[in-house]
Amino acid sequence: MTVGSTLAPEQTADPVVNEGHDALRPWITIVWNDPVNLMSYVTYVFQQLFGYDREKATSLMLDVHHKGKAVVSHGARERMEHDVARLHGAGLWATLQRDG
Amino acid sequence: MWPGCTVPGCGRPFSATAEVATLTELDGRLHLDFVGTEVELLRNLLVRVSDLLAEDADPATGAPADPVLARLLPDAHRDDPVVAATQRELTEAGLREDKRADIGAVMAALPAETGSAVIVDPDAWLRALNDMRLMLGVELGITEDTEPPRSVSDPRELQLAVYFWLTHLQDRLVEAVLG
Repeated sequence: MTVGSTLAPEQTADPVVNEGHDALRPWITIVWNDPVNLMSYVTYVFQQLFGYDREKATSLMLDVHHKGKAVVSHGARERMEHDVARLHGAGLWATLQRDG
Repeated sequence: MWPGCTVPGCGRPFSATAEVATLTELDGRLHLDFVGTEVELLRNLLVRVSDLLAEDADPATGAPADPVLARLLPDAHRDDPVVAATQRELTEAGLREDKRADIGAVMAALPAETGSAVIVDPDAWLRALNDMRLMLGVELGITEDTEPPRSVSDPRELQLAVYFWLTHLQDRLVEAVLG
């Protein structure tokens, strides 16, 4: 299983959710690859900010490195705004967006 | 991302034989023992980042006009300017304040010239070192293929050497906190 799929939002929402119900769709925080941040530092930041264990943090870091980006958290928009701010505080290149 | 200081020349600020700061743990605390002009160099870089963080945003866009500042305070959405602007409104002032607080913490710990700095808050040091590396990274156009300079014979090579010296310091510190 890839880390990306483990981080996909759980399929608990009403299956009839559609474009007209945007408010029900969760938001995600994405970290993008960049040439400066150290792989070890990015792993450390993921552990510190999200409480992920070393294995999960390393796996996410490698996704960012090899695939160019990774979803690092998902949930309500306010929480993602908070996560993005903390990632920017650490110097990582993060964005938030609606999932899907 | 950068894999770490595995290449020759990484961490040597002025020449392949120059000494660099050593990181030691003493009584449960990390110490950085600086040599040569490292402290002065670090102080100058910290002041540069701090000054940048005090710069106003571009009034037309609300985003930083300076490319380094735009990297330190990036847009929070790639395609949606409304989401990006909302995020700036919510968090940018706090981010600037936090980053300058990190710089202040490192500044306060630096010895006058050479000597030892006690690292009370390693995370503040890691973030400040990272912000300095991001600044030089933008200025030098660093890519994942950029290598440490083999000699230091022009201003760009000197800045590159400084960049890889910062990389070395951050690399050592992050390895120490990861355990």
